Amino acid sequence: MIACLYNALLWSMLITVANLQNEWFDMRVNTGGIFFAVAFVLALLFSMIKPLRKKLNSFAMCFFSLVITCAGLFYLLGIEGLPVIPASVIREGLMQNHLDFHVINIALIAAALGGLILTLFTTKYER
Amino acid sequence: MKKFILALLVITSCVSLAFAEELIINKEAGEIIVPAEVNGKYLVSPTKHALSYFKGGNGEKAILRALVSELDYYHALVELGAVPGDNIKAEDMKAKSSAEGKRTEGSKLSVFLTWEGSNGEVPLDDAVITTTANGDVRKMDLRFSGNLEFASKYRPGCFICLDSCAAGINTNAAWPTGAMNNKEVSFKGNAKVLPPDGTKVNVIVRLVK
Repeated sequence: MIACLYNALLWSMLITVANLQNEWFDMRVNTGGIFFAVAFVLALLFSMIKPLRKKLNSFAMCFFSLVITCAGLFYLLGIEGLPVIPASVIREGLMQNHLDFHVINIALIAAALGGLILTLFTTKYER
Repeated sequence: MKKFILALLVITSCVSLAFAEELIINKEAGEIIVPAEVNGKYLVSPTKHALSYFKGGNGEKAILRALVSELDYYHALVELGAVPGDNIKAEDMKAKSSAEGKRTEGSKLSVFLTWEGSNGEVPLDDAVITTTANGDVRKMDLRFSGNLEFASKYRPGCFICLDSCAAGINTNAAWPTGAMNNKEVSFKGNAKVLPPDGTKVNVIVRLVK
């Protein structure tokens, strides 16, 4: 379950940021709302479809998702946008426009690494 | 317990008073000062909004987040003697290119920004990076577009749009409607000029006579 959620959050961030490359889309939606909605739908799909769940429920797959997400975000945003756009997505979703980007970035890095370590232990028992 | 609640009420009201932000109208100087803050997202990402009311639909989509209502701002401009153009309709926004598009009309305005450490007034034009498909850079031509009916009905919160628009109180006549649809131009905040995310700025709007 944790691995499904972890993968869903990572893929959702990548999908949201990819969509933000379209200015028309960015101007018309709450990007944070899209992030949380896509994460919810993906988490449901990943946990309900058994073959998918089995495939994703491994540390290797979670690590792969993390690497792909980081590489994808770097490709889409570059060094300038990487510390700003993912944090702004979270900030807009939480409707907390005074939250500092640095604070959100620290929380995102902690969640990404902490989640990965957590999947290392949980995936052994959740097959 | 009652004393505690009373003390809490006093403290919260003092805090909210300390952060009270107001629209300032200076008739003698012919200017309006709008309190706002920088949204760091649009220093790295394109947008068509320079200034939007934070509670409006586009509040988080602008380079600067206004802390007062766009409707109060409209009435302040009228009080200052500005005349709204009101010539751009929603259907004009469907133009496929600037050749098909329409330019906003209305009283001409000049907009400057100041913040702590800004070293004087910075023209809004310098705080925005304009990128064009053919290198055609135009000077900003901000007008009192009006659009009160649209603004009151849909509450997008738009104070200043960077192209001619049917929603903004002020929009830019330098770029007709359709220019952005056709990707002829894009805008973003200038990170080399503007202060970092969250910094409070004063947006000074003057009527050009």
